[in-house]
Amino acid sequence: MRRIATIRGRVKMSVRTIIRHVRIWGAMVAVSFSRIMHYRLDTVARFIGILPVLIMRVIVLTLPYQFVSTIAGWDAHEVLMVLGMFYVSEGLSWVFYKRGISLLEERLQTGMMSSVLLKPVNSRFFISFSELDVTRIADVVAGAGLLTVAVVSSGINVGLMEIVFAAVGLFEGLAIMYGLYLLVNSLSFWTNRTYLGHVANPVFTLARYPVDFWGGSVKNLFYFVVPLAFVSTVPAGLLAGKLPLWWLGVGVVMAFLGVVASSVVWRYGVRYYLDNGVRYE
Amino acid sequence: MVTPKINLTIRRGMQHNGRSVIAVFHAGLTEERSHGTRIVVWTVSAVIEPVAWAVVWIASSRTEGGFPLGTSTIITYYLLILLMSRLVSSWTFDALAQDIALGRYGSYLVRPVGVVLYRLGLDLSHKFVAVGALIPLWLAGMGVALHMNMLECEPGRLIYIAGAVFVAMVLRFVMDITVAHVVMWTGRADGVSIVYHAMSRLLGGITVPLVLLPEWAQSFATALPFRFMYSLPVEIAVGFVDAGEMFLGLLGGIVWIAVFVVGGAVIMRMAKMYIDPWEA
Repeated sequence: MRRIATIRGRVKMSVRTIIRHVRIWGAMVAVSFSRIMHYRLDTVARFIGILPVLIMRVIVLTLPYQFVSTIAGWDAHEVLMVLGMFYVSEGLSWVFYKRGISLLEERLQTGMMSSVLLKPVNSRFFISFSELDVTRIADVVAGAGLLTVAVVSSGINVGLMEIVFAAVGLFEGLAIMYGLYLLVNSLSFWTNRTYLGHVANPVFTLARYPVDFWGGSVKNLFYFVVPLAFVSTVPAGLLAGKLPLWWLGVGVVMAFLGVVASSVVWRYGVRYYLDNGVRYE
Repeated sequence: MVTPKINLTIRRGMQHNGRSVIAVFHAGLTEERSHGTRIVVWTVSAVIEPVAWAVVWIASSRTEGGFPLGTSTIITYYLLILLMSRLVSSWTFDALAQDIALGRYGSYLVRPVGVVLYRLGLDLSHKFVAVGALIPLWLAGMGVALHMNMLECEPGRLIYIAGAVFVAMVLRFVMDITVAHVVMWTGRADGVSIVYHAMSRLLGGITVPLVLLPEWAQSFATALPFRFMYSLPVEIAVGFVDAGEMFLGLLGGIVWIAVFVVGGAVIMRMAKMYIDPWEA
């Protein structure tokens, strides 16, 4: 009986903690929206500017197809699906966590990390989700639009199940990217002014193209070691019916490994930070 | 009697400006030294996109016939555009835009050296370090390009290349200064920065050689300043342009510099009036 009561108590505590964090996150969303109202012109520039950039990217990405019909098994429509998926994925990652994580190094340099650790909230949660870049919704909308155009123009029969599989693949890609991004940026605990995020961001942009383009061992590297394929290639492949469903299973494993690895590095990083600074316990 | 006095004033002003730029240059070198790893990270991050595109184009050129560029031309182009983009790159836009967004522009106004000269000193120090850091990359790039016999090395062309590189550097600087001041009105640099950098890469030939774009897109890219900022010197070196086009290209770059110098002066005046009620 006592054991059941203890378990019940723990569950209640966990539920309360989750509800508290959801409330905090809701407040952060509200703050982010009010922030873009302060910078209306910048937001307008972001929304208008995405269009010419996207048009140019589409032109550039479809250029090789004037000379060839497929590259590494991907035709022009499918490549546009990958680009659309990349925009959606990249946009969502910036909306939810990339901005916050990218500020970690600055927080460490300026000593602001200490105030984060003092807050009565999980520090990883706060760092990851406190800074929402809601202007990146423009990327999500543009990517979804491009995806729709590419699917319709390709003539591929896309049913509800394909959309669900692609959505699951996209979610896995977001989780994998979260793990990788947090892991790379967490290395800032040990290094100083290395601007690791500046390397991580261009690496992620490689997901704009199907990773099969790389061929050979580099392709396998992007599928299994630095799994950029799950950001855009796998979800787009699932949507187009090019890839078998077991890739979703691989994605779950990759996402789990990525999040666990980043969590371990984060814990060590915070411990290192505390050991070298003031102890707050 | 008045003319010598004016001459003296001008000379003293120029001496003061020159000394200021040199002082900022030294300070910039110290700053660059303290960010030692930044230059390595910055170089590594720049390599990624050109390499990815070179892979795409090489894959296309090998798949079927009819592709207008050979593999060695593609490799040479991307090597040179990579070097060029690093040589021209600068922190001016990002740093100045951030200063403006965070309300630090006022500090430029009370310094004995103006915003342009201050940023020029820092830009030169960055270029100095960047050129030094890139020497191995330069040598490797040149070695590969010469080995492939893909470079056009006549003396006339070399002079044009040097001119085009200089024009590119100046154009990037004046454009950075001008566009950064737009943040005065947008309040935040994010939107402007993303569009500015993306368009620079796409229309500057970093992502794809402009000769491969459709006719209308090539005309569009030639009408904008980005081509003169990155692509033109490489196009001259690889032999994509003939003698007449080289001259017109240089002229186009100089015209864009003039446009941004005038536009920059106007926008800076407006910015000062915007933040300083006494100026208004």
